[in-house]
Amino acid sequence: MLISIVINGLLIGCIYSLIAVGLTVIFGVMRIINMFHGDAVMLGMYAAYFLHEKYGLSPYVATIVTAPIFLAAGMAIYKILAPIPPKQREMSSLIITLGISFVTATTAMLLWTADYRTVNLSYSQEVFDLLGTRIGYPALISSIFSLLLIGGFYLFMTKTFLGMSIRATAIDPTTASLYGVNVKITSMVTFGIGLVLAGVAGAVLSPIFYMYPFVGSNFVIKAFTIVVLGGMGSVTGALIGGLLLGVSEALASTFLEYSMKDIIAFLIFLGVLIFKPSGLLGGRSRV
Amino acid sequence: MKSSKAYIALLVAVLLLSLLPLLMSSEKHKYLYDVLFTLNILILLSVSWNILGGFAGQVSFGHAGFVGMGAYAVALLHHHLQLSPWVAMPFSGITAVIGAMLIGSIALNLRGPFFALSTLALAEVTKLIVEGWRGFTMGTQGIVIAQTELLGIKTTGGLYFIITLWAAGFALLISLLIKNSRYNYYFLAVGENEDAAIAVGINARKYKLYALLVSAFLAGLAGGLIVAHTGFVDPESGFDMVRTVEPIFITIVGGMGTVFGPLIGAILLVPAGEYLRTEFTKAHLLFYGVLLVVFARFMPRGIMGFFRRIGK
Repeated sequence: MLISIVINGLLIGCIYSLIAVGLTVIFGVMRIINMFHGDAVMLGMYAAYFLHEKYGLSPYVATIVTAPIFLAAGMAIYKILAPIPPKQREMSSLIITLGISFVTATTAMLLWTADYRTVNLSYSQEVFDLLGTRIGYPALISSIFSLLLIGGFYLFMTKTFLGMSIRATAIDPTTASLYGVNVKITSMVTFGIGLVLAGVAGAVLSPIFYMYPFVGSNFVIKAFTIVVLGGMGSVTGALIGGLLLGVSEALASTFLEYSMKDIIAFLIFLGVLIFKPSGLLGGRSRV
Repeated sequence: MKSSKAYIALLVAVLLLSLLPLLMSSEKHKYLYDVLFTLNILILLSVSWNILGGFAGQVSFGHAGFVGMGAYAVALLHHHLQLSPWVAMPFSGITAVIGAMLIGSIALNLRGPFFALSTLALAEVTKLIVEGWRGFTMGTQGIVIAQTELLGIKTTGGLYFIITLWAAGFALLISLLIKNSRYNYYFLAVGENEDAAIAVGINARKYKLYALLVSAFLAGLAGGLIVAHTGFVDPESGFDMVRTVEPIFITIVGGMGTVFGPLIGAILLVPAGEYLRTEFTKAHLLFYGVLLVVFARFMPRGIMGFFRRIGK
């Protein structure tokens, strides 16, 4: 019983982590709180849905198609935010991305109605037995897919020149530019990559979660919780934070009332900000 | 405008507009009065948000929480004690103030975007508590309020218009009083640079709390008025996130940190927004959102700032 709750929590936690990784790199490099992040997840879900309905593409393959679009969208949003003077950037970007978020969600509602949808795969009903826990195949595949992506992203951040430029910019943009990093392009690409990760997370979620135009607000608050939990700007922190949130939610919905599942993210969020604002890893982790 | 002139202008405008129901009966112009009610409520809410977000520089994403508290205060007093919504009305603001003290004790420790996000989280937590406490709040089932008379007068659209007009006028009066008092300078200092304000001996936390409490009182009052008008509240409608974002959109377009910015923003946006809303639910949010992005990016001081620049 307990094991199966924890396993289910870990599986969904992997996907939460993937959403949070995108948010955390954007915050780490640009000090921008991206309220649009949840809506990028929502768009990723709808894109996967329509590509599956029209062309029979699997949501996991569809990510290859949608990734360049999210990259471009992220760079475009960066172009809107970049000219704001650094002193006002934190608050202005918070409000501007909130505006973009509402515009996106409302447009989605006008285009696609408020109906709940989900991607039905041929193997949606099949289950897999892990330590006596029955897991649906889509959940298992999505979680492994997310873990692989997070791992790949970690390698990208530690091994490639661009990844190292992103980390250098996050630590100190001025010094980074002295060492030949083009801070503007790096920041723009970072915003794009952040949204690609959100869009991919949406595609991965589409066979497991219901989608509707305002679903993004649920994910954005979860992602923020994970980011403060794991420490801002940290990829490993986001992974650990996501797994912790997934397990906490699974435990809360089993042992407390079901509606407590949603409250738990908010309580963790507030608790961390009050008692340990640097996150669980104490801000030591640089990746 | 000189401050004494502004007070007189406000009083005259409110008194003159109060005569409107004599000229246009609320039976014939039902839709007009619905729009005017929404306009007044949004002026009230935007002024409330502006006192905290514009004057004191503390951007709140949790105003829906105060609105919900005010709405539930009136609804619960009616449900459990059979109090008329009008008798219960002062408690809408008071309840929101008490709620704001609790919320402030957590959120005021945080700054900037984290203050904003924590107020969002706290508003959601309040909503989920109301939703979960079924024995007391009726949970998702919601509470229905019977429409009651006010001092023997039947509550029509015209009466709601006058009451909300006075409430909006009251909010603007408070806003003017703050702007012309020394508190304005404390708020400005704290909003501009909190560390610098503390360094010159300003008790930043105290003034942030003051702004929060005044703001919460007005937002709670708006909640009470909404529930008296619609006659129904449930957690979804009472704590609707839209009540947080509409005032933000309106205030930024009108001019954040000015007394009359929220008023101008609401007068310009709400009628068009209400028209769009009849075409498509929530379509007005699309319109507001586009304006918000354009203004926040290119005209961060809003329409008031634009006029001020021309005036110079």
